[in-house]
Amino acid sequence: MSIRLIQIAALGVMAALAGCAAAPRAPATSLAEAGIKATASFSAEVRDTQAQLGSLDVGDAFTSTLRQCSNPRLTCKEIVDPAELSDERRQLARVVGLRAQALDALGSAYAALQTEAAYDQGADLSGAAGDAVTAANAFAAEAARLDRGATPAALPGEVASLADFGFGLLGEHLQRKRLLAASREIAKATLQIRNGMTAEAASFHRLTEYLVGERTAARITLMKAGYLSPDDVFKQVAEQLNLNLTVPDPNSESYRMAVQASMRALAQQEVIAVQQRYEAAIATLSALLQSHAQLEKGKALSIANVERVLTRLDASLNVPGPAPRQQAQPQGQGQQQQQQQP
Amino acid sequence: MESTPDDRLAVILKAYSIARDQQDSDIAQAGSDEEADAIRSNLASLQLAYLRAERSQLEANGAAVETAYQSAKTATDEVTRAYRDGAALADRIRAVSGAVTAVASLAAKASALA
Repeated sequence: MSIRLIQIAALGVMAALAGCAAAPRAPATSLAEAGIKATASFSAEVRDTQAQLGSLDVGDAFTSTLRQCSNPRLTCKEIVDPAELSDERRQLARVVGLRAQALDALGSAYAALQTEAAYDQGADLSGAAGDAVTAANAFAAEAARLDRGATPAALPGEVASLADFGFGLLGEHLQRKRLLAASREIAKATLQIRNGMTAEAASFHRLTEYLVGERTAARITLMKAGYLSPDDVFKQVAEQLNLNLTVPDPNSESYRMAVQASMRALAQQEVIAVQQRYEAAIATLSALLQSHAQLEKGKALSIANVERVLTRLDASLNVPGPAPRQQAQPQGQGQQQQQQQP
Repeated sequence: MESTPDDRLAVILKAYSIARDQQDSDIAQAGSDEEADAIRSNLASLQLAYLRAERSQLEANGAAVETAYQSAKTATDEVTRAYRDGAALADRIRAVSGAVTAVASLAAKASALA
């Protein structure tokens, strides 16, 4: 073999190595953007549940006192919830809040990944990824928990491990290593949180039923006492029937009873909508995990799956309900983003 | 078939929800402060049982748990029946009080910490 041929072969090998070692900045940026959106949506949902748990006392004090004082046979006096009930709500709110904290920490990790990947600047990537893992572990190991598992290892069998998403050995090339190592750490946190939220889905669904039920009961009490106009509910009924309706007698018992029945039906719609958002958020975390695995393997990274689930999540935030509690997140770009690693 | 922790939590929430949704008419019909206090006390107990059950683990199994679960279901059905049939307020309060006792027993027996 001539020296010329050896030189060409050596150049070819070096070029191939350089290609393999290139940092996957563009796909990591897309993945990070999707992760930021997904965690923000889910966190908002969970924080809303936390906030509602923390605000029940005030509404209860008003409606309970109103009921008491509306009955002339009873002594008109202030009625407040027992202290132990308020304490229990606060404790439950704190437990729920831990889930939101974990999601926020995960969002911060994705933000650090985005900074690092997009601009090649020195973000505190390992710190943010470490925080996400710590928060996810705290979530899973919290003693007063909603999940049914005593430890993270005891989570139900149907939830997956990283291996189930096809994670293999980390790339060894230095230029890739930092992004991929951070991606793997973030994936660990994503997986931990995804598994935990999956295990707790039934609890969150019941909590939604409980909270919507509390709010509906309070609204009915307020409406009966004349503190709340039935007009908003009537408007929603007309919208859902797609009809222009008029009220012949707003003070009739039939109208009030019909509005009350509609409030309960609308509450059920709200419960289902919240449950669907929760399921969509879990699906988004699963889609993110698949994208992490693609990134690690050097495969074409499809964010389309994440975007599709995010779009579904955004759409479910816009469903009609008696008391919308969420602002829709910015719409995902929607279009398929196929990005090949350099 | 053995009940699951979710089954147990669901029956506790159901017992509370039925009574909560009738609170307006119950208090409106109360003839005395004592009666109104009894209605609120029952509701607070059921609500507390539900919230505590969500934070704890109703995972323990066994014959005693199943018996308690069936009793809680029966007591909840009694509450439903009392309201559906337009029972007198005193009977409704008694039915909800029965659910409070049954639910507390279920939570105590099914709690892994018990």
